[in-house]
Amino acid sequence: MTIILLAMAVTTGLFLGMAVILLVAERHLVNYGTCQIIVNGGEQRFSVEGGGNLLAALLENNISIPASCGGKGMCGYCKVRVTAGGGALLPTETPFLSRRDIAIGTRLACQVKIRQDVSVNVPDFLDVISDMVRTGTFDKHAKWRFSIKGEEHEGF
Amino acid sequence: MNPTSPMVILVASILTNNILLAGFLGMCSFLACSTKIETAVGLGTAVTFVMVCTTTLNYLLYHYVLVPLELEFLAFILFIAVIAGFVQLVEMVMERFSPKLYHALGIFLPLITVNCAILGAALFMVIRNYNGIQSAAFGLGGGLGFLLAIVLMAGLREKMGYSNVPAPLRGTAVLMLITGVIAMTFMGFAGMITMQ
Ligand code: FES
Repeated sequence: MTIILLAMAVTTGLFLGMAVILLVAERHLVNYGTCQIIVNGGEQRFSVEGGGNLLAALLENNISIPASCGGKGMCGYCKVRVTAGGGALLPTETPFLSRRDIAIGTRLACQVKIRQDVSVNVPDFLDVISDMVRTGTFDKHAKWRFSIKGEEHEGF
Repeated sequence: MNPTSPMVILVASILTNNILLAGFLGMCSFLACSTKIETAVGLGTAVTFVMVCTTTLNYLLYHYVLVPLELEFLAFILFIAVIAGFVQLVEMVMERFSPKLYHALGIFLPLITVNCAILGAALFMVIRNYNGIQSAAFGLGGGLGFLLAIVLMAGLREKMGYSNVPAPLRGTAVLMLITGVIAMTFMGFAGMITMQ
């Protein structure tokens, strides 16, 4: 009986201790304060808590980016152009980016960590779809139907 | 207490008792991250660092907490917890103080948490009854051994990109064969040093 209690006490103690250390470290080490996200050159701007990723920040503020893998860096759909404050390109992104993409500053939004103010150019949703149609990266057998109100969109 | 000198343990765990090639631990990251030498060096260095630190930490935990309280059976769970917590901490510290290092090694750190070689090193340290210095030496040797093996493999794979592998062997099959051959080569070191 005592051994079970002792085991529980040691396990809990250790976990608790580590959790406290990690929380303290998080508070003091990876605190970036609030950062500004500037979308499409000032068309929209909002502030978020630093430390999260860009994809989540954009989604939170109702800018939808296709992300079929849910931000794991596996699908490569969440491409955006980061013009400032994105940090260095990560090895997890390179497989999805062509040389031209890299040259114009394309990044995978889910892999960009917000550490400072970030300026980002988000592709128009229709652009994304026409891109998918052109390169054939969607299921061609599924029926796609959408109506566009207002101005004509060409290029389909 | 184990009488082997730390120096011997260090060399032996790199060559004769290589944790990857003799123990076949840590194969998943070995196969996944050995496509390029650069990546391999990154992962190997990160593994070495984490292995030295966690083996020592786990040594302290085991001999100063678990043994006096007769809770040795908890070793598995607690070792894993210590490794995971330590890796998290290192990731944060690295990100804060050396973004450059973080970019080089950071993406490998989450992979390391679940690297069985690291847990394996901690458990071997217990089974073989090492003292503190021996444990640290074993951790260092184990990590360097991992680094050596994965860099060798990456070099071979880079070369292999130019060769015509028979169709049935392409992909993982040929990697397994190569690993086997490297392991056999390392068997050549056996008997040079004996370590318990
Ligand atoms: S969401 Fe899939 S790669 Fe970013």
